[in-house]
Amino acid sequence: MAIELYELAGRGNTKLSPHCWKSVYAMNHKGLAFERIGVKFLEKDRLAFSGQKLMPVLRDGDTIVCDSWAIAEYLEQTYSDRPPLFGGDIAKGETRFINDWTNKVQIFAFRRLFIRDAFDHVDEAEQAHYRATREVRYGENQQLMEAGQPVNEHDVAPMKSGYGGTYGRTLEEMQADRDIRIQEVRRLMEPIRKVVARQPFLAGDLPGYADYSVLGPFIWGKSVSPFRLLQIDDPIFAWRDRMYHLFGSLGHKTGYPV
Amino acid sequence: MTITLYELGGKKDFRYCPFCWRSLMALKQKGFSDFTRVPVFYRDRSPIAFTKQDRVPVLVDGERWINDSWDIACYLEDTYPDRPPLFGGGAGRALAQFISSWVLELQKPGLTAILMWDAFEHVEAADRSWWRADREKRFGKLEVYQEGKAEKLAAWRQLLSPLRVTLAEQPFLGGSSPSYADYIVFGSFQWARCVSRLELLEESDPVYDWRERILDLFDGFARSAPHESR
Repeated sequence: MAIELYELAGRGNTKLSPHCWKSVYAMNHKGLAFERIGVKFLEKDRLAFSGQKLMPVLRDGDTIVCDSWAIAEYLEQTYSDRPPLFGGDIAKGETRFINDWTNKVQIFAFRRLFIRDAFDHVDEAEQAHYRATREVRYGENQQLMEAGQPVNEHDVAPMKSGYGGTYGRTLEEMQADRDIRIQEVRRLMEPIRKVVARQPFLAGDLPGYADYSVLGPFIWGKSVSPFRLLQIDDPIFAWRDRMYHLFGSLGHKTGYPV
Repeated sequence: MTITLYELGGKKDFRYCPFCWRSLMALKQKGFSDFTRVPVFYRDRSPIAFTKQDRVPVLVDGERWINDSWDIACYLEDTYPDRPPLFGGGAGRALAQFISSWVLELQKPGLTAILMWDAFEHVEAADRSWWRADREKRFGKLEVYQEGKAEKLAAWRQLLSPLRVTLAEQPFLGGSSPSYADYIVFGSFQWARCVSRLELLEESDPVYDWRERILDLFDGFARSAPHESR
């Protein structure tokens, strides 16, 4: 049986999760053939076999793995004779930190830039659900748990006030000021910028899982929105272009041409 | 083989430079215990005149000298590959660059602003007027930084969010054992600990436990340095 990857999907099978994109790239990196199975918000029954409701889910024969980080660890361990995702224990530890930075900083910053555009790519029958769940509760513990992330008191405050700031706003309001907010989002990307200005990939001369972690939110953005995240002279733009070229230009072929 | 580390000297025996701490911990990781530590002061940098530049840390290993904490770490890793690793390979070294960049986000302006006055108080007496003039050129009146520290600290703690999540999942940034990435971040915490009584971390914070683990390393090497807070 082919390996299956279950991904959150919307209208026309548009993929709607940055975490799922991390796993898609990890699979490609390992050179594995796999089937991408889109599951919509209200179709979570189709994940019953995994005993939970979050995506991505990987099914490899009898093995079922949930959570994008666990999937990366599983692939590295199981397909150790294929190109490494991490490159050693220390690199794996560091990659985990970059992945956590992506989850805590980058994804929250990006989310507000695209949230109304993403709505247009949600299946019509699920749009009311999408709006209802995101407008009131975004940034609260419930959402964090749905996103598969650890929940603690430190995380809630910044989302109400800081770069999350989605609390109590409509989708339209969350996205409305993005032409201004983009300056701050670009500044938040500074740790990435400094590194990719000096070396081709975060993991060095070749891309690794850290690169896929940071790429995930970019592809998720271009899947649903034509909004221009980066300026052409930004070193991150050149890195992203290198990333989009990988695996038969998978990134370039996905979503809007930005 | 003699090793000497030239580092920034403060008042009394205080040695608070975050970049020097990175190199000190890297030397310890590589198993060096009896290296010589030479303080260099702002007003008199003659001890490192032989390098024809004025920045510390500077490492001298026999006939060779290296400046810049990153280059020192790379030198130690490449020269002593059989000793406990700082990077553990090319990817580990490349990824540590991200952590280095991320720490700048913590340090500037956040932590630097919160501890500006405390840092000033730990500058060696004869260096103070030089230091004040230099910093005020860049940051404005030092006294201003005494205001609103609690609010600034609360905001700064939010920046630690990714670190907090990682260290709740694994004991060190380098995974199961400490690596240079840990020392990059620790350098800033040690700087704060050396110059200020302000407690940056709550005891319930996973980052607090991590800092304790680092302070315990090498027979409490960093813990025993002259300091103001835990």
